[in-house]
Amino acid sequence: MKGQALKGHLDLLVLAVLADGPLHGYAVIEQLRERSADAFDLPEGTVYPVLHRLAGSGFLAGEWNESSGRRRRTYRLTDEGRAALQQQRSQWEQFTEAVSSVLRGARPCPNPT
Amino acid sequence: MPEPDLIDSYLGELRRSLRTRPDVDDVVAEVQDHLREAADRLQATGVPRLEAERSTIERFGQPALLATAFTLTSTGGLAMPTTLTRAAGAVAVATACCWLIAGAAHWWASELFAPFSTDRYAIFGALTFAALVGTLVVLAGVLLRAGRKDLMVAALVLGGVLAALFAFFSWMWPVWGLIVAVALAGMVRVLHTSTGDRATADWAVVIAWPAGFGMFVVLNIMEVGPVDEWGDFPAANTVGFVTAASLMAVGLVSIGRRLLTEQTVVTSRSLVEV
Repeated sequence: MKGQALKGHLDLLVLAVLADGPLHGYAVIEQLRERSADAFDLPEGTVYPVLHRLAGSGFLAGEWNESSGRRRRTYRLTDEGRAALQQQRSQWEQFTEAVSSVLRGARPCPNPT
Repeated sequence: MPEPDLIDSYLGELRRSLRTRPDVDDVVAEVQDHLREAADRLQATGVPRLEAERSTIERFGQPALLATAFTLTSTGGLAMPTTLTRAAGAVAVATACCWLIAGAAHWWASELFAPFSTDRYAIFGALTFAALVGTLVVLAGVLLRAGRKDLMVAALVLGGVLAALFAFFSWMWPVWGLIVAVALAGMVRVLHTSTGDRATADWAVVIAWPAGFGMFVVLNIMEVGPVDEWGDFPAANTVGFVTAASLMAVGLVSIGRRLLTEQTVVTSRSLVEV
């Protein structure tokens, strides 16, 4: 799935990935890929600005530590972020449910022949 | 001949692209951690080091792309509107009404209406203070919407002091107003870059006080209206203040409407657009 299709959903996906526990950027991207069964194909670097924005907005908290001699920033979901995730997840579920309902009611196209 | 370190070259280019960011060292350190870890893992599967680094960088994206994404993000605001930013929108509309009332109170407290009274002056000061506090809440909401919590705290402290000075020495409104205008110019700029919606009416809050000040000066020079016991022209003072207060109301309604009606799908504009 190309980035354009993810428009507007990446923030929610990042929050959801971090709901299970703190992760550093690389692990967040790995989780996104694994959970989507490699369906999300976007430049990995673009996830970092999202992490920074969510941290700047108070939805995530970042903490620096050392790993393999390198500085590593780990992100965790804040209470505010958890509440936002719950709210956004609920909205998403309502939306997909509505779309599914419409699609379930769709009649098959008549055969042109 | 040693192999070139592609990751180092990439990080150097990224640092140049992001050099204006105050947190450039942190961003570069974070990206370095990602790239080294990814390349190490790839190399562990048997891929030659140079190829592992090349592949890792390719998947990460070009420095220019990342710099653009960071720029959009730093001004891209909250991932989603919150109850607080919506509340700030409602406060903006209420504050617009408060400014109009404060404008009317200026006339009521002036010698155009009746001889000077401390009580009427105090009520005018209190109304002005309420309008300023409301404006401050809107400013906080806009900064929060833009993801600038750091600026928000400073703005609330400095704005609180300014609001108190403005209200207590409200006869000096032309001076305080010009200071307020600078803060409001910053607020409108932040709002426009964070929402991508550049409504012209928003600028009314920025031009409000310079316009009111200009009106005050011109009418004083023209010596319009009666002269009060201090030798001033109360009509010039009132018309100037009412002009500023009215323009504040126009701008705040425009800003408030935006904050109130913002839809989640718009505000969670994702970086993957770049």
